[in-house]
Amino acid sequence: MAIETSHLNRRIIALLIITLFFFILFTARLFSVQIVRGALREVSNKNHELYRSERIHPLRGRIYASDSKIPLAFNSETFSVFVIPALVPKDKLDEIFALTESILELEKDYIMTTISGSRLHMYTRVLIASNVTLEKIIELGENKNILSGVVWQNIPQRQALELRSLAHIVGYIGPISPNEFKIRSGLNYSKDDLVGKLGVEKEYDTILKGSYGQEITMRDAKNKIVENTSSIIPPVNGNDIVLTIDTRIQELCEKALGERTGSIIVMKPTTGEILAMVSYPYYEPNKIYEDNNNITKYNTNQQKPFFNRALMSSYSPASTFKVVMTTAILEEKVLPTNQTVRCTGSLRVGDRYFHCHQRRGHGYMDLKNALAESCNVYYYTAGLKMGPEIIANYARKYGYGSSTKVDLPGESSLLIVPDANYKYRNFNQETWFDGDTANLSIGQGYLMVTTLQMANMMAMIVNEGKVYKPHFLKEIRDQDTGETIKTYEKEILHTLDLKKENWKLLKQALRYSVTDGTSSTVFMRNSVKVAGKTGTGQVGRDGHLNACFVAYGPYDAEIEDQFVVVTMVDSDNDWEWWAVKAASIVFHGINKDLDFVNSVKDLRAQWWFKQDERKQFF
Amino acid sequence: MKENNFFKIDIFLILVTVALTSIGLVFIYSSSLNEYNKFFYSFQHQIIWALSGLVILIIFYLISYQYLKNFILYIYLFFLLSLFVIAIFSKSSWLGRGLIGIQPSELAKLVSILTLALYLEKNHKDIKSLKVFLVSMVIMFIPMGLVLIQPDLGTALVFFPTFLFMLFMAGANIRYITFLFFVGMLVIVFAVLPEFEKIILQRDVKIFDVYTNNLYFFIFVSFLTLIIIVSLIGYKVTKKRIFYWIIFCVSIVLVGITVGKMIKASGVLKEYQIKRLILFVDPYKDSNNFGYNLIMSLNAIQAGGFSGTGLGQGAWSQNSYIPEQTTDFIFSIICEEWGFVGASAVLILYLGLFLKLFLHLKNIDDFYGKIIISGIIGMFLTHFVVNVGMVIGLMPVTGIPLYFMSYGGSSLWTAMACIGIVMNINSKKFEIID
Repeated sequence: MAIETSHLNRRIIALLIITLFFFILFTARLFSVQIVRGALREVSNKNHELYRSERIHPLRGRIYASDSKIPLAFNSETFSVFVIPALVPKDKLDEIFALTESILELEKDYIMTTISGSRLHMYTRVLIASNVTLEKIIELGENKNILSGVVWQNIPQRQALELRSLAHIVGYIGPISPNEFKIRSGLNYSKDDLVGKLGVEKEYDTILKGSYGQEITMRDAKNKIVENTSSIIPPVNGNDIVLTIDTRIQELCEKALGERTGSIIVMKPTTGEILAMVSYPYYEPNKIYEDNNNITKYNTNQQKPFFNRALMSSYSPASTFKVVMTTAILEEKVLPTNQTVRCTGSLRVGDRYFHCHQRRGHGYMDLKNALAESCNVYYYTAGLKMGPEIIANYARKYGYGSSTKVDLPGESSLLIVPDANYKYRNFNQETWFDGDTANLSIGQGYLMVTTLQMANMMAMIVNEGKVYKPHFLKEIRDQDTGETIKTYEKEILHTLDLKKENWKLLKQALRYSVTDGTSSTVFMRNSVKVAGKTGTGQVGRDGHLNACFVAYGPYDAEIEDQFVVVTMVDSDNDWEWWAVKAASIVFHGINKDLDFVNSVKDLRAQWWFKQDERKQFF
Repeated sequence: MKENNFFKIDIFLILVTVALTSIGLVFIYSSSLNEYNKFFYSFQHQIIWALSGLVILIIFYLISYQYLKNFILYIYLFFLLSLFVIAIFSKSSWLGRGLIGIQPSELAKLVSILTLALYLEKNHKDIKSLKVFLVSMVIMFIPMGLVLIQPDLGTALVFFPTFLFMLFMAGANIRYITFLFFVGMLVIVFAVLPEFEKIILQRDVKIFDVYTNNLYFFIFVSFLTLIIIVSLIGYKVTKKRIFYWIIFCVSIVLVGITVGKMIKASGVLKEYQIKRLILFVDPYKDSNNFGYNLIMSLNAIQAGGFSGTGLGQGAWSQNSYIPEQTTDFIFSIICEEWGFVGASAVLILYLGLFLKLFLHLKNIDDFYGKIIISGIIGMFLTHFVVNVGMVIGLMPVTGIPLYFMSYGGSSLWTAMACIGIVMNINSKKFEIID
């Protein structure tokens, strides 16, 4: 018996050791988990986190015209509707969902399928409708007693006024593309942001967008917010932007251009402020906000409504380039002002004849008349005499061949002042012919400019040697307080040093070309003394012409009161003189503070219009 | 005699029991603090069960354990019948609902212990024989099988170590026990092996093909059988012990792998049960479903740190992150709200309980009493190790309660009854000496 007892005692000790082993193991494990803390892995799984953060959307800055009365682009009250399944009484599930579906015009059983059955006990918000109008929310609100578990949130949605021609300036926003996201790395963008796609919305996106706030809350396992645990980092709203655009001038220009493909720019030369910029056709941002498919419609439209012709298109400057030529002739004393050149209708250069637009010839022409009559032969002669380097040099000083640095995206990259080097690089032709010089002298050939550059050219003349950077930004304001944060300060873009009397002669010549030149009749009744130059550039070989007119006025006024108007009517219109006529309506309208209809009436210019367009003036 | 009994009350066991039960109540109450409020009824119920449990403890303390011998067999048969009825007709392991619902499988463990102890005492002389061992197995494994098909895998598994503890203390042949122990281990390993390969390792392990591929398996089993036959012949001819041990070891593998394969093929183990068994190795492999409980439990335990977040302050505990937080996972609430300090204190209380039980085990001379206590130790230890091990991520998730602390009447009553019986056995020790 004693032997058996000691035998059994050994067995007890064996079991005791097993027991103690587990206690030691468990204590060690608790120590490692609770004190050393090495048992858990970081998991990027929301269900495994106690604290969840949700973004709070900032309000995007609004965009105002210069009078800063009504915002052109703003944030509207649209709502998103959610269901919190756990808050919906289980016995009234069908009733509540059916009512919500009928108010929101959703398909039957849409809510039930959106909330898959397994989530019915969860407090997670399930989005069932976005972009819901206020009226429908009011209807939901009236049924609030019945609709427990149905909640809504105001999510700011971008909207714009009916912008018409302002669309090109204001632009629109849309979901950021992967490529855009990559380009903006480091600028605090996230992958589901909305970002400006065109216009000021794109150019000043970082100013407008603001930054997200955050609400951090403790959640229980059903995702219900635990009371008194929320901490909020408020969002920083984006800043408002005030544009230099004068809406009345913009409207005047828009109607003066009418439904003709082309563009009009009105600029204040002493600051570079753009008062109006119209490009026809245009698109409507609100149509895009209403239905994203409209982007495709606009994109496939042959007339390219997304295309801002004022700065995205390159043209031959044509006869307007004679302004640059005249400057060079005066300053370089290529031909004395009173020396005449005989125009016989053409000039033989090498083995080719270069024609004047007046086939029978202008006869003897001095500089002033050559500019007024736009005599090609005179400028061929002068151009050949001074050579392509000098011409190119003056063209560049006027700003041609380089960016205007305007604060609107999409400026054309085809900005060319040709020389021998350019020709060699692009066409692999080593020789610069005299014929090239002749073409260059009348603004044809390789030369490529934008309408905005032409406006800068006129600003240079008004300012007698200075071009200010053209811009749309007037000031940046705090959206919440309305305080001005930053006012745009003018900035010199190009300078050109000429003798004082040469500026005067140039201005006189430009004034003379309006009073006595090609466009004299159009300005007969105009209240503004306009100085300017017409241009018609040949595009392709089918005889279509781009008609343009570069001008400034009032001629006698202080330069602070003068403004530059450039009109460009594309070759696909049968309105060859429209550029000049549109400019005339714009000048008169601005000067007399008249809208389009009254400006036309005042000019007694109804007869410029086709029969069916005249109705509006009665 | 009655007066004497009161002086021989084991104050220490009473204190530990009351302390553990009270801590359990505190944390069930803490769980009821969160706003869903669903555990407040649990708290009220548990108070009722704790108080009635104490009455049960006293009743079992006052009834002589020897007296139980008279009718334990009938109780055993009654339980077998009820387990059978539940296994066949019921969808769950419960009889009744809520406050009056009981789990017969919980009480069946104690009844089985008492019955087996009686059988072992009756066959004390032949304790080392294979026949007694096999009959013991039948007594224990019939209720175990019935619980297993309820299906309540966790409770069923408790029978196994309890059985080994009892036979071990009864002085059964150590070889049988070793054989059964290793076979049991291998059965579990082989039953989960295919899922382990698929879910945890997530790659094809060539050597496992011997088991998973039916042809290879057949060849392998035939090969093992061949070794046994050859060794058997070798043993008969030469009488060398080496052949005996070869047969012993190879048989363990053969039986283990075959039964494992049969269980796998029979589908007794549902796939979710297998997943729960193996995911403790790496809960992140299925973090949203079967690994979720474990990850949440570990989150809570880690959040507790050294001194804990304070009662009712545990972020994980109070926000419904811990599933079964009043029953199977109550220890993780303790770990979060009382930290390492509190958890260690609870472990020390349990250690005290076990040491005291071992002391009684050593000091009892009555064979029947000794076997009962060893069975109770085996059962308590299995519950403790499997539950706490599960909560802290060292053991499979099987869902058996932590005695004294977990919410639930059946388990609390069983544990109280056990303590009452142990105290009675202990008090009778003096009687016999007298």
